[in-house]
Amino acid sequence: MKKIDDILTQLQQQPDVSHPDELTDRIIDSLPDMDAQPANDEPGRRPARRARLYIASAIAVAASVLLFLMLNINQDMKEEKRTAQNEIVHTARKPTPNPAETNSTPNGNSPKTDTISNRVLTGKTMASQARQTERNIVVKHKASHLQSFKHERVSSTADSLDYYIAKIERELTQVDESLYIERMQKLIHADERLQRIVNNYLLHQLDKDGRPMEAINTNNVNTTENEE
Amino acid sequence: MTQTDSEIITRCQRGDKAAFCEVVKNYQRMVFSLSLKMLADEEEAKDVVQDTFIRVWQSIRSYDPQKPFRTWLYTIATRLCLDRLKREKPLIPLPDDERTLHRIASDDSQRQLENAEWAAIVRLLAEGLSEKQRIAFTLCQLEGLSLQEAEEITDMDVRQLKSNLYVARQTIRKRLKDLGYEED
Repeated sequence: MKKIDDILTQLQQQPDVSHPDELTDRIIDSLPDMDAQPANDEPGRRPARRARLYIASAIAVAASVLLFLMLNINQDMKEEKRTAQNEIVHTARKPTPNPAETNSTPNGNSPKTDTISNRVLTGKTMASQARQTERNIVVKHKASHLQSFKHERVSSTADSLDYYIAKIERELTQVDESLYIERMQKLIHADERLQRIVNNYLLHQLDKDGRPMEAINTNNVNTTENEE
Repeated sequence: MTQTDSEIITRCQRGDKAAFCEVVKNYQRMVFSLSLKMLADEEEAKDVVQDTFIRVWQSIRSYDPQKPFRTWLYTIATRLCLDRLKREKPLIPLPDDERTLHRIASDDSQRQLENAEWAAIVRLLAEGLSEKQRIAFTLCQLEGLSLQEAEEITDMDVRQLKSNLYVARQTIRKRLKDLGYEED
C-alpha cells in the first residue's frame, strides 16, 4: 500500500489526452479569423445582462424624476391649501371689539368734536369691516382656486365690485377732511352710473318677462332721467 | 521558450495556421492536464483546451515574446477553468471514487493514470477546498510550477499562494489519513 506522499507524487504526472490528433484538428478547425476580437471584448455586441441593467437604471432614473416632480407639485398644493385654510380660520374668528368703538360717543363733547370723533370712529369701523370683507374675498378666491382648476383665477364681476368697494372704504378712512367731500362726490357720481346699469338690467329683464312697465315704478331706485 | 518556439510564435503572429498547429500539438497536453485536474471532467477539460487555444490565436498579436509563453498559456487556461468552476455545481465525490483511489494506492507501480481515475481522485481530494486553495495546489503541487510562476498566473502574491498551498496540503493529507492512508 502506498503512503500519502507516494500518492501525491504520483499525482504530479500529466494525464494523457485521449485521441490528441482529433483534439488538435478540432481546435484548428474552430479557429476564427485572427482579426476577430474575443467575444467578451467585442465593442459592438453588448451583453444581455448589461443591456438589462442599462434599461433598469434608465427606468429607475425616470421614475425618481417623476416622483420628485409629483412631490413638488403636491407640496405646492398643500401649502396653498394650508394658507387658504389659515385665512379662513382667521376670518372666521370674530374680531375683538375695539374699546374705542364700544365707548364711541362720550357725553359732554361739543357738536363739532362729536361729529369729528364720530367720523373717526365710523371710519375705523368701516376700515375694519373693509379689511374683513377684503379678506373674505381673498379667501373665497383661494378656495375656489383649489376646488376647481377650470374656474380658478376667474372672479365674478360682483366679487370684483365688492373688492373695490372695500378698497374705497378703506381709503376713505385715510384721506384728509378736505379731500373727503370731493371723494364722496365722485363716489356719488359713480354710484349713479352703477344704479343706471342696474336699472337698465332690470328693464331688460322686465321686457323679456313681458311684465308691465308699471313694475318699474315699484323700483325705489331713482334714475338720472327720473331726476331730470 | 526555445529559439524554435520563438520562431513558431512569430510565424503565428503573422497569421500562419500551420505554425499554430505546432503550438497546439506542443502545449495541448499541458493545458489538458491543468483543466482535468481543475474540473475533474475529461470532456469539459477538452472544451477548455479548445477555448484556450482559440483565445491564444485571437490574442497572439498582443503577446510579448519576452515573457514566457507557457505562463501566458497557463494564465488563459486558469481563468477559463475558474469561469467554468463558477458556473458549475461544486464537486461531490462519487461512491466509487474511494475504491478507485484504493486501487491506485494498492498498485505499487507508478503507472500512468487513466483520465477517469484522475477525475475520481480530484473529486475525492478537492472536496472542501476553496477556489484559491485549489488553484494553488493544482499549479504548485500537481503541475509543479514555481511560486513566482503561479504568482504571475493567478491574482495572488507569493505569501497568499504559500498560505493557500499549505492549507490545501494539510486538508488533503488529513483527508487521505481519514481514508486510512499512512504518512511516512
